[in-house]
Amino acid sequence: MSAALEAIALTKRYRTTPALTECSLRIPTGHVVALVGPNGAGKTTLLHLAMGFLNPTAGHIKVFGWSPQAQPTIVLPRVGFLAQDRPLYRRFKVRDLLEFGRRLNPRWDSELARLRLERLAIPLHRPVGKLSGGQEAQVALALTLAKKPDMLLLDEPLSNLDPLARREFMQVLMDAVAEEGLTVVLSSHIIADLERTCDYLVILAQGQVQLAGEIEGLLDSHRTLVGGPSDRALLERDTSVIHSSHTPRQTTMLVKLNGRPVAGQWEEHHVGLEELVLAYLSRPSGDSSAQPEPVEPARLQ
Amino acid sequence: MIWVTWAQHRREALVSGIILTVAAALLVITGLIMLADFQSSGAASCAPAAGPAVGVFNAGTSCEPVVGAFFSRWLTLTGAASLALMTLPLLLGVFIAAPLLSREFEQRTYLFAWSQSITSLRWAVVKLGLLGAAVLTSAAALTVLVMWWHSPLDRAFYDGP
Repeated sequence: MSAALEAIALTKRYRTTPALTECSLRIPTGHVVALVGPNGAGKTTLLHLAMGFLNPTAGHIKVFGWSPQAQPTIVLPRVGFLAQDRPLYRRFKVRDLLEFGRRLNPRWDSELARLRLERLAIPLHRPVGKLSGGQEAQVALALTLAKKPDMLLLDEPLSNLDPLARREFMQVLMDAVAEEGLTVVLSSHIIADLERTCDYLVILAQGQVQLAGEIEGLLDSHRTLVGGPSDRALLERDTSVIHSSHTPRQTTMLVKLNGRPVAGQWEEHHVGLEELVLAYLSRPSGDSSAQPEPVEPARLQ
Repeated sequence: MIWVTWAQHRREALVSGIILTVAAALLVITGLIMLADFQSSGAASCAPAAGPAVGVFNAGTSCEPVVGAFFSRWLTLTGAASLALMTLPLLLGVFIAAPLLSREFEQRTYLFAWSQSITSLRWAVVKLGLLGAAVLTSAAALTVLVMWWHSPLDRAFYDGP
């Protein structure tokens, strides 16, 4: 089974500014993926590469095993994309946008989109520019879903929405996922929005994947340790320290377990998603010591 | 994609269409009046159907004041029309055509278009092709009309049809 999205040593530079640097990633089908990272981490670049809007500088990107650059007519009908700020032709009536989609997509399901919008009481005859922000977002989502994609790529879909609109957007999205078994990749820098809905996490920073995996497994394999000044060398034998903060009396560390019990006088806590993401994002740049690779023996003394 | 381009740009097409229709109507009306004057003033009979320009070769004959008077009656209008026809495409370009494309990029709606199942190449080719064809067709029609409109003056003063 080929991955829904796969990047192999993917590099993208804009003139001289690197956006992605030898980025490798494999997202299996059927997940709802949170793609998180700070602004400028390369999230949008990765999604645009996956849609074939951009060409990689080096490396490869594959969507369901196909190249979006070389086989756009195979990839595009299978992937629904919602760009940042959810751009729509604002002068078009909702109904005209449905017609727009019908004419440009082979797998289009107008009826489904119409039903979804009617259920949300969105008037089809109104120009999109005259809808509320939340309604506009729902129209954008309905159009993306009407394409009947196998995968949805949503770039900051919740930006500039009020909390109620966010919740309704996620509600409709998750209903669709449940009905149709889509793979979804959602980029965001607000982790709270993703916590309830996503089951897979990809952390992107400085143009590279810092961490990727099923959220449950990731939360299981990380711990927060709180203790006094202690034998850090011993700790580094048993775990990888992702992030640490010190006060004169106390040390707090977020560590990745390496399958051994943690030695020393540490108070162990489970980690939350937000905590985990922040720990990886606040790692000093270029420090890849916590990549999910085995710890090198050289580091043991 | 053809419907899509039309749906997206029909407002601009209508505005441009109205402006061009008004310009064409003005040309037809003044052109007919000028043609009538050309015939009735006798300037037409001084001009050979084809051949050397009358104004130059009629020097000293009775035709010279007739053609001269015809020319001076229409001098202001032709001057104004030339200026208007030179600036019209510029104004249409600046106020209608340029926003048409820049808005697509400013509002990032090209990303919405590219998110459908057509390739960005086809999107660009059809869109620019249709818009370009519309511009060329209307420009050609306007040119033919202006040539007809100006023909009495051409026949009175210059070589040519």
